[in-house]
Amino acid sequence: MSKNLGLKAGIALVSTLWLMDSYVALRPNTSLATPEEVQTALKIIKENKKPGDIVVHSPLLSPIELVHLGGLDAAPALPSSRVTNSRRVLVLDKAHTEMHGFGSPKTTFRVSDQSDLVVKVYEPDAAHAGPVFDLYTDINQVQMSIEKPAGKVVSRCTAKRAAGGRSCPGQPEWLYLDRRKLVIDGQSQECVWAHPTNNGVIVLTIPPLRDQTQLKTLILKVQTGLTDDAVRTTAGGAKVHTEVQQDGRVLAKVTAPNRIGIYEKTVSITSDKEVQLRITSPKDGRRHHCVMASVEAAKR
Amino acid sequence: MSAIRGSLAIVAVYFVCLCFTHKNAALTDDDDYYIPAGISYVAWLGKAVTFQPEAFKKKTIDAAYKINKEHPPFAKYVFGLSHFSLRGVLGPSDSARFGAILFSSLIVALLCFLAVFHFGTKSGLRIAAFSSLMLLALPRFNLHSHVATLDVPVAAMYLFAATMVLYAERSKRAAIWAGPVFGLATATKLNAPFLLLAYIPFIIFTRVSELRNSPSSPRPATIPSGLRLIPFPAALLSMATLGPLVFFAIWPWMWTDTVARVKEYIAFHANHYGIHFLYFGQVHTDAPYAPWHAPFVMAASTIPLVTSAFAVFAVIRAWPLIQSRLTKSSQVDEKQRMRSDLLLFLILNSLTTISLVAFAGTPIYGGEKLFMPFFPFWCLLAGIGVNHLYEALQSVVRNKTLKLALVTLFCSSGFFYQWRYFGYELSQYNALVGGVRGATALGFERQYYDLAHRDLVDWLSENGPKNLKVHFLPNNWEYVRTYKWYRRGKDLRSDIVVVNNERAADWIIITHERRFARYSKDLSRYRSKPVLFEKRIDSTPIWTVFSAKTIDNPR
Repeated sequence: MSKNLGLKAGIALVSTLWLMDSYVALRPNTSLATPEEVQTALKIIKENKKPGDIVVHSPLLSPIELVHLGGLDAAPALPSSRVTNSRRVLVLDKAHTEMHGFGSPKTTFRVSDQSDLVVKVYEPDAAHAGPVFDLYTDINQVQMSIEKPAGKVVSRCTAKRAAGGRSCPGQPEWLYLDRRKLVIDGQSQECVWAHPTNNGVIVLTIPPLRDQTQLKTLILKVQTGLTDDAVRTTAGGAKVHTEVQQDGRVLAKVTAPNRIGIYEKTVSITSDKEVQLRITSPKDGRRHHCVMASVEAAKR
Repeated sequence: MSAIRGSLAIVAVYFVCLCFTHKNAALTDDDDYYIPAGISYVAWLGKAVTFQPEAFKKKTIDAAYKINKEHPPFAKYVFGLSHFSLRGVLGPSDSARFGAILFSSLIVALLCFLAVFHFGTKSGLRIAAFSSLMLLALPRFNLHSHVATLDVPVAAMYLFAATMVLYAERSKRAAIWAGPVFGLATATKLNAPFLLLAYIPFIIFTRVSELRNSPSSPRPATIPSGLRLIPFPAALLSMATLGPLVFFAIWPWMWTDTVARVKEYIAFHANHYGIHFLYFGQVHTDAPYAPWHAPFVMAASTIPLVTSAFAVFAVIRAWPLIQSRLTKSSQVDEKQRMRSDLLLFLILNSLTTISLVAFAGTPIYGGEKLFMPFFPFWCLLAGIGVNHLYEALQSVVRNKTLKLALVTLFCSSGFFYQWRYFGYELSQYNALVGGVRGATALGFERQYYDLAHRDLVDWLSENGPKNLKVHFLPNNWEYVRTYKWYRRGKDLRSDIVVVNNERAADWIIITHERRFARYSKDLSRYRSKPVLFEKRIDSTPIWTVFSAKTIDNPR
């Protein structure tokens, strides 16, 4: 009796698993979102997007659907916890298979009753009052230019770069503004590429931040470093200096020597004026240099 | 049906099924390493067996074996031999890749042997048939069974060595042969020696239980009371002596500068470069590598659920038998002892083959690729589980054919995956994570190994304009290598070229692999361009062909 019961339970379990496998293997593709649905989703995103927000789209969205997003800056990647802890994230998702890793949305907008598309808004955790500005995340607000010699702008890095980011017309292809993930101090770091150039200055300009915060005084943390590989393979490599300037005044200077590690300085800045990070080196050979910078409210 | 005839039938069916699907298996980025190496090694072998005097000079050996010297040669000999034997029929790459089918079929032959030897002809053949069916229905293992890489070969040779050491428990001849087979396994890929991680505990468990249960066993006076010597197995002795001899004998690269080259070989694998691996939305490349649970999660989310359920069922059912064999050895008859030995050995090997990847501290990447030796053990356990069900059904279903049909149906869910993911086997995920659609949303990779899918090759040949230039994103250079084989084998139209320069391309093909940092940017740059064709499986884009120019229609 009990043997038969066990057998029946076993068959029921195996049958259930078999049906699950079969269903997942045999279900047809869902239909693509219509142009109108994607445009409605885009409208919802634009209405809800605030400065500093990050937009993510589902990796299941086909380029046939994505074309209707126009020039919207959105990526199919899960942002790092550093970003999700400090920024609002708007996710254009597929209702039938939602992206993992964001927690619970504060608001969900359904594009229409028939549509698979949803727009979800995730708020940062209040416990992680994050930065007002982050060089890596907010790279689109950063301007880069090259001065040669110091004070004379020879290139503004505004040209579209084939591999992503922006290139600097008239300058070598290794001078560009883009996000990178590089191994510095034994860890993969999200940073902004800032390769120095001989007899010149790489200038990264952070805009005034008064739109992002009502606070007047803010704290800027700058971290720099050379890739571990560049240090290991370049005996006698030159130091790279990063000078922090605001309103023509030098607030701090961070130097990355030819040693594995991350070097940092924290300075006080004001939110009403732009900040320049000015990067120089006496010799630019294999100076694979990267910068991280974030601006936070001053602690009381 | 006799055991041999039955086993031959099972192996033949498996072999024929693999042969039929061979031309649909995509080339991987590794094929271009191992095929030329196999050709080079066998060309040298040709000189050696015809005793050409220059063959044994260091210069000649080094020239032949320098290519892909970071891996031992045994599987590459097989690839090279099958290339030279079959290139006229199958073309230059598929002929070499045929070697992988031979290794995969060897696995099935070994499963038959293990099942029949330990369970008798009738039950054994049933178990072998169920196990082979479930192995055949593992889409990912199936793809690897067509690829000229070392993963299925080492799975086969690992199982061969494991079979020999287990057989050696009851055969002196097998104990002697265990050494050479272990040497061949070690000469296939570096993970073979880790068979010892399962074999040594097996020896300890079984020998200690036997010592404990036989009070008359000899104990030298020098051994303190309560301690007895564990008899040293002859197979282990053979593995320790003949194994290394075979390993060095068949790898001429090691004949000179031996110490330096062995050091170089070990160092390469101990410090293996990082390979991108997307796991729960995070990309792991360098240390710290993906967490330890990644291989277990990959196995649980890719093996058909029914197969794993049967394997777990077999483990649960095996436990009392193993326990009584280990605790009351003298009261257990030889039949039970044999079965429990097999079950214990299967469980130990299932655990060690996957745990090695999880806990070794070396890079974890490529889904299931690194723990390929796990699958035969797991499928044999699953086959034993299915056989339990078959025997239990005796009381409910009297009709043998009906009973067989029912359990065969249970073994078949993997074939639905095979059908759906045909040609895209490495995109397959099971119902636990909701198929490739669920896995992609969960943050897993929808494909890896830079697969050069055959239907894309066919589509390009049929639809591409004359002198078409294509460029793959985000990882073009791998396709430069694989597409040359398709061109050489006339699978691809000869005027179609994969170009290094993205700007020179007429068409761009994005393969939607999120582990590459540049993928998001690539997608963003091309998403406004006209889409010419797209492959979607389970609502998930796998690759998309874009026109790099604004106006461009396929022919």
